[in-house]
Amino acid sequence: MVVGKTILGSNGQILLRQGVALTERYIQHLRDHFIEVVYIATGSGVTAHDVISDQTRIKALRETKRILGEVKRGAELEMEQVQQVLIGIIDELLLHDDVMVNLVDIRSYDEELFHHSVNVAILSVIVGIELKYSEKRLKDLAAAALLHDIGKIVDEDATLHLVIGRRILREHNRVGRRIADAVFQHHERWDGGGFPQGLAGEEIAEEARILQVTNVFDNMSANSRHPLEEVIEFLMEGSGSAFEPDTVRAFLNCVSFYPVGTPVELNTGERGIVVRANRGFPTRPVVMVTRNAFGPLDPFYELDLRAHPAHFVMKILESEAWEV
Amino acid sequence: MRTAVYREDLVHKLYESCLSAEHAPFEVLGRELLSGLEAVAVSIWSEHPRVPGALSRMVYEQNLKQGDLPQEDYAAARRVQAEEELIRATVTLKGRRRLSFCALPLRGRKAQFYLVFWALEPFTDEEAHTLSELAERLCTLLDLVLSSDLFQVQRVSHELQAAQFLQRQLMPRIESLQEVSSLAYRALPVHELGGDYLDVLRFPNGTLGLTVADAMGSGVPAAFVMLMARTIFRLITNVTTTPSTVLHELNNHFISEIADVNTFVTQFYAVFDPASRRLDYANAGHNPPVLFKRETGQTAFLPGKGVALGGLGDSEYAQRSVQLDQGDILVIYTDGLKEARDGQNSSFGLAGISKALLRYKEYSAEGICDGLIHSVLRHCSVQADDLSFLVLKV
Repeated sequence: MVVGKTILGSNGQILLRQGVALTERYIQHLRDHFIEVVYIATGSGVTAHDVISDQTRIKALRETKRILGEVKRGAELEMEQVQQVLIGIIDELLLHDDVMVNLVDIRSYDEELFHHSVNVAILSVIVGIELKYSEKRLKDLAAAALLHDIGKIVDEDATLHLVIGRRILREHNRVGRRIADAVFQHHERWDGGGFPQGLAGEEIAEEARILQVTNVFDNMSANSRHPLEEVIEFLMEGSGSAFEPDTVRAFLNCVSFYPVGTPVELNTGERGIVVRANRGFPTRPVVMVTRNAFGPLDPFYELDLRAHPAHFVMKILESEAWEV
Repeated sequence: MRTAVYREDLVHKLYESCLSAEHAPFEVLGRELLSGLEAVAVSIWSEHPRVPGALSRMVYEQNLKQGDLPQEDYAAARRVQAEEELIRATVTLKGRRRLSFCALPLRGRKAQFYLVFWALEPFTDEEAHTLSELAERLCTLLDLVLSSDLFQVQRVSHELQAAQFLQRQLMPRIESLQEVSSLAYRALPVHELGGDYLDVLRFPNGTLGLTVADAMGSGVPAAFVMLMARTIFRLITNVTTTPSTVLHELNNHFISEIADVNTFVTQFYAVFDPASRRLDYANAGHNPPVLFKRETGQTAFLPGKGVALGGLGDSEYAQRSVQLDQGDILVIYTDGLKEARDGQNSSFGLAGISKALLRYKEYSAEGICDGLIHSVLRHCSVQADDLSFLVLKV
């Protein structure tokens, strides 16, 4: 077994590099670091690519951890450093503007705030790009996303952290009002049922509407380890009530319903693994077909469901039930 | 020809490969004979099972790069059938090419067989002798294959596959309609053939005809009825598109066609105008379609139900209208969707459909179809009935 994707530890350090053979000792090493999900590279050459490079993610994690740590010690928020982190993320996401979010992208996760902050920043920028935000607005959006929970450093309380977060940001002369508002409003709901102010619809800042979606997505996928399909279903169910529909739609265009690496069975009896996603067509990925109704295939072949409307995924297979 | 060399080996090989063939045992036999004897062509004929005096070709295999000789092969089989003894001859084909054949009769227990071997050179006495010995040894094998279940099962399954292909070809082509409306469907028969009929028509005035029908029963008989329903439906909609009239006409035609057959078809038919977003519809005993209203997030059945087609002559079908709004989703379906049952025997039902629509409402019609399949199979894990539905997202 070979590791299919570089595994990062809670401090952003590399625990195992992609391509390393997975031995008992390494597995124990991963367990020690509470890593439960590992992507194994299969013979068919399926590897999950993160939306941003490991280098950028590691740098973002380290810097964010340090910046938040400084604020906790009572120092002033280093907005310049924050912007450096964000520019790295935005530039890279703009470079590949067909990125699709896979579950694997957000599973380099643990409970710590800076992990969550970086994830929400990445996801929010992806949505911003989909909504055709200007670069200037992307920066504000990314800043609000990276700092959306900064108030929690002082107080974990559901409402209080919003008030404190806004205060920290307002005190800073380099932070625009837009950013502070978005942070303050990220627990509002589209139907007015949220907090702290109970704002509804257009009253909520656009950036905050994005944060509502990406924040919930990251919290659900990380903490309780819901399968991606459940998280997507939850967001769609909440579209129009909890979340703004346009934002949900934009987000869903960038999230594959069947993440890369998912073993699936097609209506034709063919089985295979999802190897790529098609942006804008979340339920129609590219599948590497490894067996058909009669048995294993050699060689495998790729089937782009977007180009083959008569083919579709019948079901997601249990990993155990699936063999090449 | 290499008649002398591998005779014993060849017989063993023929028996082995033919009896272990997973399908088409005669074709396997033909191919093995062709390569084993290095012949130009080989055919095996038998008396026709139902037409006295006629011949039925079990297999024909050739190793010719250019042209083929089924005509000449048939003539050779006819000759040996008439003369009932070994024949050797040379024939001139188009382009002055000359080929020789050796044809021999073979009395099997089940039927009379004829074998025809083709070669570049005329057959020698020795070769002819070897071939007749080989033929004797094949007699038991031919009897065995002809009477085997395998052969029958293979024949039927071949025909079913061909029919399945035909039925799939009859499914509507909707790629070109995507600019007009977000439309998608799934049609999943549980076996090769299904009794569900689903169609999308684009009328000259820009409206769309949407229909889903379900023939009683399943498999081949239901597929026949479905095919008939489709033909009549398409003919009628050439003349009129009004839902109440179409179902009325359809029912009358249907009754005259199947008066003596105890069967019926349920059908829902609607005309959707993409410009005004109005849906006019009538229902002949079919499952009421489900409408998801974007604004309220609520799901409900479309009211109205009439007599199933083939039930009662001259039945009237009430026509109703409903105004759809942007984001609304209409699902027209057959039993397989609503009645899909889980381990506790509880059906997917309106609740299941509603929940799925709520959970996939932001996807296009295509994505909603994928979501519905995903939800149904999560509910029942194994598909037990034909499953078809059509999704319109306004």
